[in-house]
Amino acid sequence: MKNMSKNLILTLLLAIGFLSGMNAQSDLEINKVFDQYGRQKGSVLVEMSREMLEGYDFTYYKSIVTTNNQEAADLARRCLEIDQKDAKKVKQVVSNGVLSSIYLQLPQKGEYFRLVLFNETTTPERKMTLIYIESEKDSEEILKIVLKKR
Amino acid sequence: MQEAEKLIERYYEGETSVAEENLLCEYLSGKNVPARFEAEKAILGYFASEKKKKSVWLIPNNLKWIASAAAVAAIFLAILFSNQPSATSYAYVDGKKITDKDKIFALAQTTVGNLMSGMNEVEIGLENIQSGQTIESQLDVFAGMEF
Repeated sequence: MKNMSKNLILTLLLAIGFLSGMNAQSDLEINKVFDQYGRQKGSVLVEMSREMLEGYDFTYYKSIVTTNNQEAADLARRCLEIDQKDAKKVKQVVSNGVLSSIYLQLPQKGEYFRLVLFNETTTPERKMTLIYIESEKDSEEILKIVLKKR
Repeated sequence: MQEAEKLIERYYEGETSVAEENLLCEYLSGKNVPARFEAEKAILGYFASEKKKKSVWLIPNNLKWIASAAAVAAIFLAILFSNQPSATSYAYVDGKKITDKDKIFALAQTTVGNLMSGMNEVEIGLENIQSGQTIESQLDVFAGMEF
């Protein structure tokens, strides 16, 4: 009985550890970009979850914009290379051999459709934008909504 | 009676088993116990009452584990709920945390705008190539040259 209870508690503790460290995009490489550069000077990090996005088409939103941070942009590109392996590439622009834009539809995670959008502009300044979106709506529909905002 | 005396003797010698001590306790706590057994009655009665007191306050082992599991489950739920949206909506600008809803929304809109303007630049470039403008403008460089 004691052993059984100990095992139960151990399992629960492991579950706690797992869930507490689990975020929406925690299984993705791009998470490193948010973690490493999100709170630095010259960066703008935004995270919004379901409660705040009520009435919108997204259930989760996370983005980062870095200005004149080549290192962050390069890390994002390396991470995207890994994350795009199982993803559907909607759009990709490569300028002078360097990825400047990409839209990725990631594999569905549970009931959520996931999108990653990346863009880097070099003029007037080097600005990298990386967005991760989760939605209960189909990724293509979400992409249309985002693009419509233009 | 003789049996009781023998048991008491063995009790003092420390030779009685638990079952025998229980038997002795039962006898001594009963009615019509001779006065000469008062001392033994007091001793065994004291220990018996102590045992009873302890058993009243003892929490069964099962209950302890259930309580521990319940406590862990409570912590688990607390962490789970603390991960809910209200706790994870924020923004950081130059390392400074922002929790104001309107400001967070405004920053998100600007971010999406950034992305779209970046894509616009690329698309304009692509459209130019498609319409031949880029090629024409590049050929213009050679327009004034004499052969």
